[in-house]
Amino acid sequence: MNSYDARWMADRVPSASSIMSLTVESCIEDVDAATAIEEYSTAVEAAAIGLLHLAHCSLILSGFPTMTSEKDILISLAVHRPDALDKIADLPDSYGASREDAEEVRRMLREELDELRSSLPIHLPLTRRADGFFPSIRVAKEIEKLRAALGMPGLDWLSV
Amino acid sequence: MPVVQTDASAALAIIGVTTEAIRELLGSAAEGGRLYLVGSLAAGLGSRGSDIDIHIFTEDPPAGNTPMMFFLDDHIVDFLYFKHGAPSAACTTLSARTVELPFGHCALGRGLPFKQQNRLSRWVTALPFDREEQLLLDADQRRTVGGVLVRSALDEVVAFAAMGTVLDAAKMPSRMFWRRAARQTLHALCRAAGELYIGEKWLWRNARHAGLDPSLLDEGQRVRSASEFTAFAVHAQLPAFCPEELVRLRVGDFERFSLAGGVYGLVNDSRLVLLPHTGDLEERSLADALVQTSPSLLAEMLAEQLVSLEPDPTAIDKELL
Repeated sequence: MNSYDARWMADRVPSASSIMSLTVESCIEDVDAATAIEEYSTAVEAAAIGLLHLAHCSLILSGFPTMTSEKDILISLAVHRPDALDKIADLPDSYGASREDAEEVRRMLREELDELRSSLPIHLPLTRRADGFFPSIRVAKEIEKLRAALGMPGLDWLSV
Repeated sequence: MPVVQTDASAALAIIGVTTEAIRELLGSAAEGGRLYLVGSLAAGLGSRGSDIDIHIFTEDPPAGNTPMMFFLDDHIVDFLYFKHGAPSAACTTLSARTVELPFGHCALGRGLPFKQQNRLSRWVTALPFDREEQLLLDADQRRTVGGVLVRSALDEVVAFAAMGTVLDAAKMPSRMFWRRAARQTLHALCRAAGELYIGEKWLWRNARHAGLDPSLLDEGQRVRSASEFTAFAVHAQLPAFCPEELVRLRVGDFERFSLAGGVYGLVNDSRLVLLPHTGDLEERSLADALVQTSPSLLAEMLAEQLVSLEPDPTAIDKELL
């Protein structure tokens, strides 16, 4: 039987999940779009941004606040998750990147996203897709109902 | 070089979409408003997978102005309303005082937060749906925005270099910060060359469009330390600076709670941080802070958002003049 901290489920999980479904998935689409036009440097850039946001999601899930500035995410990683920061710093150089580099970082990003997502009990559907928009509204409504029952204020869905 | 478009039709043609199809999709939502294409497509950076971003200017934008999203075939259409004249009004708040640097002009005074930079960068590259419509900003306003965007990137250079300095002193991993300082330098150079559509992932395409020296780009992306950054900054013709003299330590806005003998700060309404000695939580220059407080404690306070490092506009102006 699975059980969860209800406040974590109502707060941390939606925040991280929405970053995954809005930002990280968009990064994967950006990688694919850039690769399709042989802009491998842009593809590696987009993947690096996605990996940084995934590291941010891990911080959120372990109790750190949602951060809006890249500097805040990086300093938080430097102090609390130096290994995760090293992993991003060790990515292939983006300027002059090859198709192989772009494919490698895309694979890393996809694997890490799938791994983190599978560790969560609930997922937000892909909001920025025609078949995901309305399902994501429905899940958001269910989360808001849980938050209300726990006495928590509504989430700011535009900035989580 | 990028293909410079003068109206939205040609830019949208890249993804096989017409302005008429978008007007039809938006229906009454677009009635009575002036439509502008913004974002990567308008800036000449888009590709077939790009989203379509539209700003609608109207006399009476809806209250709240929530971003809206439509779908057109495989494309996402995002749009936002603004009041007529909002771009010009935004420009009146910008500093028009500038200084000429070896790579271009730069505003004096404080740079802008990223959200404002992002909006201005969209407006300065926006394309009208109707050929008869004017661009959103005139030549003088575009120059002002350019100077402010350069300054904003230079402020980021200083901020990342300052964080790198703290982490080096604390013997914590700093290479991403020196790397970011170098990348922000390249962003500043791109903007000074007229590439005003901002975004981390566009750096290399902007640099190519701006015609920056490939050896400078290669050197910039290899920066991993303070000494490598210093050498690169000379190559980039950046004025020499000492990061710890150009930023101030600012104490965050958090509520304090006494709990069983300890005093905690509630940061972002979500995290309790045991507060250090009061003297460590005072506003001062980073140079002073590095003498008075242990660097590892400074790094931890930054990571917990008890304090932040804010570029000091007066000190930076002095270095630039």
